[in-house]
Amino acid sequence: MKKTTTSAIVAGAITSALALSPMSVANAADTEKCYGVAKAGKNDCAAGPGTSCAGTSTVDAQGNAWMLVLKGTCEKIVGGSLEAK
Amino acid sequence: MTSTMKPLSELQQLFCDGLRSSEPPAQALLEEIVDDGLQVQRFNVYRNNFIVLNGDALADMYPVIKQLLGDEAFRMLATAYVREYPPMDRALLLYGERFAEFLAAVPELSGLPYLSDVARLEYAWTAAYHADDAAPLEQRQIAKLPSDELDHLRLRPHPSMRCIGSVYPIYRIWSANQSNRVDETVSLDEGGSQIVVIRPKAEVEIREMTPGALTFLQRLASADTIAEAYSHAAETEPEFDLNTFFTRYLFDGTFCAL
Amino acid sequence: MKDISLQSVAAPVPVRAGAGLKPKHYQAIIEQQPDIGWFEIHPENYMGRGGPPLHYLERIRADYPVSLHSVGTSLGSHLPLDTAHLKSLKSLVERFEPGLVSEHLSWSHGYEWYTNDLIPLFYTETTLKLIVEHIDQVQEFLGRKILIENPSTYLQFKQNEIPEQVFYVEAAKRSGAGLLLDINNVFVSCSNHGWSLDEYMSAVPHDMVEEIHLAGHSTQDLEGSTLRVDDHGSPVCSEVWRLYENYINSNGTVPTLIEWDSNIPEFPELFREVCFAEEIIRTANDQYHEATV
Repeated sequence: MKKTTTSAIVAGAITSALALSPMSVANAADTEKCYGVAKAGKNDCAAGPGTSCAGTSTVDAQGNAWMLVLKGTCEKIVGGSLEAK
Repeated sequence: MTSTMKPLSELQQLFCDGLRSSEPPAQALLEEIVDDGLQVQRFNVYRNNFIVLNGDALADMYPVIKQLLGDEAFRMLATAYVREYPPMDRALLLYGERFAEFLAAVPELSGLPYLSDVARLEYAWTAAYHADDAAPLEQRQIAKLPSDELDHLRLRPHPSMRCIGSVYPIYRIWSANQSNRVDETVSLDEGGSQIVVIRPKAEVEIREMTPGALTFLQRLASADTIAEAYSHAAETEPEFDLNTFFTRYLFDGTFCAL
Repeated sequence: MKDISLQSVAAPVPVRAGAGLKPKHYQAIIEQQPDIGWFEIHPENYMGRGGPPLHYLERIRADYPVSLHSVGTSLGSHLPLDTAHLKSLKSLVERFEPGLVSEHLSWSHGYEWYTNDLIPLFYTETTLKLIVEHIDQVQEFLGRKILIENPSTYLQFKQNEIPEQVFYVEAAKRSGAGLLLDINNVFVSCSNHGWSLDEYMSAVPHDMVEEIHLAGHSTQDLEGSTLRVDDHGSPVCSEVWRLYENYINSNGTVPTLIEWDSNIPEFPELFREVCFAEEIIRTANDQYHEATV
């Protein structure tokens, strides 16, 4: 009985999808599209811009110096905490 | 000079040790460099390149994390990451795959518990961007099948599809940080998100799904039949509506050609 | 010298100015079809399994010749070449049929991890043998000739025994490779180490130069002296334009690339710089014709 019901639900759902014109399924509201061209292309043959200071910072993952400079949009998230716990 | 004649292998390893270290370059390395009193500064150009070029690759992959933390904090974390996990692949397209795990292990960031899941979402975006192409399932392929065989059908989701579940509202956090909407606030009380990242056509899409829909897709991805996947989805979410799901997604490129 | 038989390539790179292909310009290039001779890519940026970059490249390749300028082979490393990387490179060569394939006279691997930077070798007979062997292997694997590019360097090793320009030319001669002469790199390295520009440039046999690179660099103060850093983030400087013009006026014209990798400008600005190089090539060709008529 369960089997028949499932078959009927599946067949019914597919039939409804087949009945739609292909155009009507595009552009749904809860879908974020990213035109992500800017994120591609990371290898190049140039030196890093800037001075030679970036690689000389002695701050590492064991320190917590970055807590002092956190100033991003984390502040916009209510319930998260910027304080170290 | 003869006393410091190091073979190339040794010099290259010394050089790489120096690139990765946050300490001043080793004396053994400096002795290999022509002495004009500026050896350290000259070597630091290479160290800067190593940190900045690879850190830039991370920043490309994790723009939302960067926005959440601010440029300076992101740069410090990226530097630590590059030192701990330098690229293993000569193509940097997917460099940064352990960043989520890395962020989760930083004790000072435990007050921002959602960061790691946001990083997983951003990694999935890039992985989907570079994933295999596939021809979409089309209506005519399904239309010719007998209706009593449809429930045994195994649908193959697009190879770019990644499913992500989080107890935090990472979809809202992510979308509030898409360029022009930075003033939106998000509350962690909004609850978790189930997300599908997929590149059904030219662009990567990030879709917030219901728990049932996510289960359905995950089961199909592990080669369940439609009927099997549907029962699991209905268990996860009794209100899961296959009709709505299929009218939206059956022929929009979410699934590959049979 | 190794004999590498002349191959005919599907779309040779013309003796014109070309541009480094950047993702932010894909759309403009496809829409405007600018009159640019050719585009160059870093193959490592197209080593994904699928997706938009490969589609864009396919679209652009349909209208323009391309050149593959590799950054990941690490020819000068003591470690063996990476077969997986070579396979990816070969499949791009087969798919996009580039007019030219090139790599740098440098190394990126000291261990199994990748520095993502072009680091100089020390120049001795031993390292020359090593890099020649690696160039041979790449050419053998790809079944075609490659070009090698002179690096921008910021330090020199005490073990150097051979001047860079001699090492560079000799590496190409012994492997049968061609030369990619980066005139900005010559300028940067000569300035950073106090080498003679004339000596460097005159050591390079023109008939081996199959491509020229031009790019901008930045300068930083190193306790009173100037260090030039090859960051490809500004227009080509006037000294480098002058060197370039002199070079092609006295030796003949060569396909010439304008490279940008940071602070990448909007497409019209890049296009103007490419047109500037194109104009120098045209003038040099006209003068040559006048001289031979």
